[in-house]
Amino acid sequence: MSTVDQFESVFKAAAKTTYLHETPSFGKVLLVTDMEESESTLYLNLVRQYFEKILLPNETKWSVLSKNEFQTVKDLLGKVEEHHPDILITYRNLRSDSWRWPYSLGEHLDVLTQVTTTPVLVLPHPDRDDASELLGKSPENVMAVSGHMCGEGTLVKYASAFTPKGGKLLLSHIEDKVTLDRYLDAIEKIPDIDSEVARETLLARLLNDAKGFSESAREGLRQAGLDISVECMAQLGSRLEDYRKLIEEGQVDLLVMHAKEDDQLAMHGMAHPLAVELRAVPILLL
Amino acid sequence: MNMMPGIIASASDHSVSPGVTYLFFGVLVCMILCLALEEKIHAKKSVIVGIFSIIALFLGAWFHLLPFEDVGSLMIGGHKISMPVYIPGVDWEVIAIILGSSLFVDVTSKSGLFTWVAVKLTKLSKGDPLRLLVLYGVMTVIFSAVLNNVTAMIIVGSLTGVSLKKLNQSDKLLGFLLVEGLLTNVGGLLTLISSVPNIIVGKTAGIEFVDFFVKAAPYVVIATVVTLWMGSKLFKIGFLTTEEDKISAKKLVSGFDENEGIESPGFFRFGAIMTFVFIGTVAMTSQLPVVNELGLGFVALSFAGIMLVRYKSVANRFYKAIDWDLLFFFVCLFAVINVMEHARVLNLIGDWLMPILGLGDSAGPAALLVASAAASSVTDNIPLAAMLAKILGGIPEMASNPDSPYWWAVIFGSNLGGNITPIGSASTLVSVTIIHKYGLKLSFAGFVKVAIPYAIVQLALGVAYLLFTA
Repeated sequence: MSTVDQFESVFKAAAKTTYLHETPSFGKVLLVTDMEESESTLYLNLVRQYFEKILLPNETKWSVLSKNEFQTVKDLLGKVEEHHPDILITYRNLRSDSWRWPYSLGEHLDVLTQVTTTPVLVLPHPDRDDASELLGKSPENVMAVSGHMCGEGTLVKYASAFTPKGGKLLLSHIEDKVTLDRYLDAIEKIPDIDSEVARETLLARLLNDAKGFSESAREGLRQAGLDISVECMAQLGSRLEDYRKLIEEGQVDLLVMHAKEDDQLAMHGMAHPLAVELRAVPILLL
Repeated sequence: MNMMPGIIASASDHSVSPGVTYLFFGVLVCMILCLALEEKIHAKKSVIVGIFSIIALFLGAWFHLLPFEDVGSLMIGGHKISMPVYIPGVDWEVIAIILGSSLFVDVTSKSGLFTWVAVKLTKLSKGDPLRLLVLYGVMTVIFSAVLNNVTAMIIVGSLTGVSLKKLNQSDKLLGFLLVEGLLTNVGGLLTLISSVPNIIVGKTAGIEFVDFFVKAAPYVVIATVVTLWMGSKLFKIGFLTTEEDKISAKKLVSGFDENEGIESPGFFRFGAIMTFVFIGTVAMTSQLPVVNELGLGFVALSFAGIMLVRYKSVANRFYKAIDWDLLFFFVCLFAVINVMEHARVLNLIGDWLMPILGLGDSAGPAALLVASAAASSVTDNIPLAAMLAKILGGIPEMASNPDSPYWWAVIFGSNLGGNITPIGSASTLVSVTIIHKYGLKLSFAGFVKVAIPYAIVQLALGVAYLLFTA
């Protein structure tokens, strides 16, 4: 090592981002449905039961918005503003039957997840044949799906809050193989960069950063006294396929991910396909 | 000890006409000017001095100044050996010290030792800016003394950029980097192997490692304290005042992981032990039997070789990282100076120096220190040190007296002169490069304006110290 750049790299790697735990408050919960009022009340009970270990009855005030209370996206946004909840719970394709096709979240949710700063928890659609089964058992295993993991403290904060006592929180990071291969292919065409070194070290560096932060989060959650087990996973793969596989294997009851990206109005590039296609698992979009 | 003109011993017995001497003097001046304008002419030191060594050797041969007969029939150990005329003029011991120690430092830095120390000190500061300045300042001085000025500046400078950014104190970056740059040249005074002028002058004068350290250390301590105090005042770097800021800074700095750069704990421990053993061996070289005959160059190369065993299969990576520009620069520089010696240019300069040397034991060294500093502020301090070492070494009274204040005047002047301008030393140049890398504006004149108070104080302290210890 003999250059500023080399030493700077070591020091940058040594300057680790650490997780500082904060407990989020879910005092006010708003359930948004497109059902009639009576059905909404029944559905509310089902949802309350589903989250009874997390959103404790004596600490949470529930409200419901049913079909008649909003028509348009604008109406819905106005109502949300009025209620000012700590978390929104709803399902995809409100006021539409396109939930049957895995191509969108519906106009209401597409806007809601981007406009409001309140986290939105998307449940499996209640008209699914297996809907009652899916909400029959409270979530035990929660997975935080990260873009980078390193520095995503909010993601860990919410994911840990949705992990019940004795439950398991999986802090996951999947580095997209297709993207990495594209970069490595480009690097192989640049004479000034040692391709072998890049191939050996780039993936390791990416995964190390994610693992490092996950480990720091595990320690932070332990110190905060949360009675949950935390597992860290960082690997190379295909995000959609790998998460689908984990869900199918029954390892995940709830997904938590970021839905917003600072430099764009549309949904987070990684969250959108997961939220649209993984329809059998509740997803908390931050 | 008053020096009288004309007593400098000549390296060559043959007569040289004044015209030829002045011609070679012109070549030397051109070379020094080109080195001063190195950045402007976009040429590496080795190429500049290499070209001038070709010119000097050619002219030396043309005017029959070079001892072809002597080098063509050398008898060494009963064997007749012939070698090119430009080889004996090179001080291979100096080359071996530089090559060996830079290789040793390069391989040892792979153990993560230096980055571990640097990060540990960062954490020790608890993120407080003034504490950080003091710790980084002390670290700069120690690293400059143990490693070399450039490597020290690279390590401390790169850490400063990263840590101040992490602590949201980037507005203090200019002050930190400048003070660290200036302290590299102060730390470069600490030991015989801390800087190249020390090696060249110390070796010519016959100053032992321990004697060098004992003489230089008090000055280095005083100059470091004063420089840090000035830096904190002039750049308004103070303690954090509110409890909230202190807690926040402590949290941020705790995110640093000193073990990040350590690939193997075993090699880390080995690197740490070897560094201490290396410094100890260098310090004891003149007392160690057998080793004292082989010299410092052997010690440096041996330690580099031992460290390389850890990376035996990829040793070529370290060979690539060697500063070949610096090594070729030295080889060519020694060749040029050797020719200048034969052309009696050094005698000419020595005669010009006589008025300074004749000022007496107090004013003489003081004047030589200031003159050396002024000269090394605008050009490379290595040719200056090499030339003055040759000239002083040619004076019998000085050659036999390693304690002469004149040697120390050259050592102090050539090191501290680097703090007057950004081109005065390689480490201040690195400091300015890092400053520019972080998008901070600092021109040549801007550097001089900011650095001159420090340089004046350090030189004044140097003169006072020299007079006090003479």
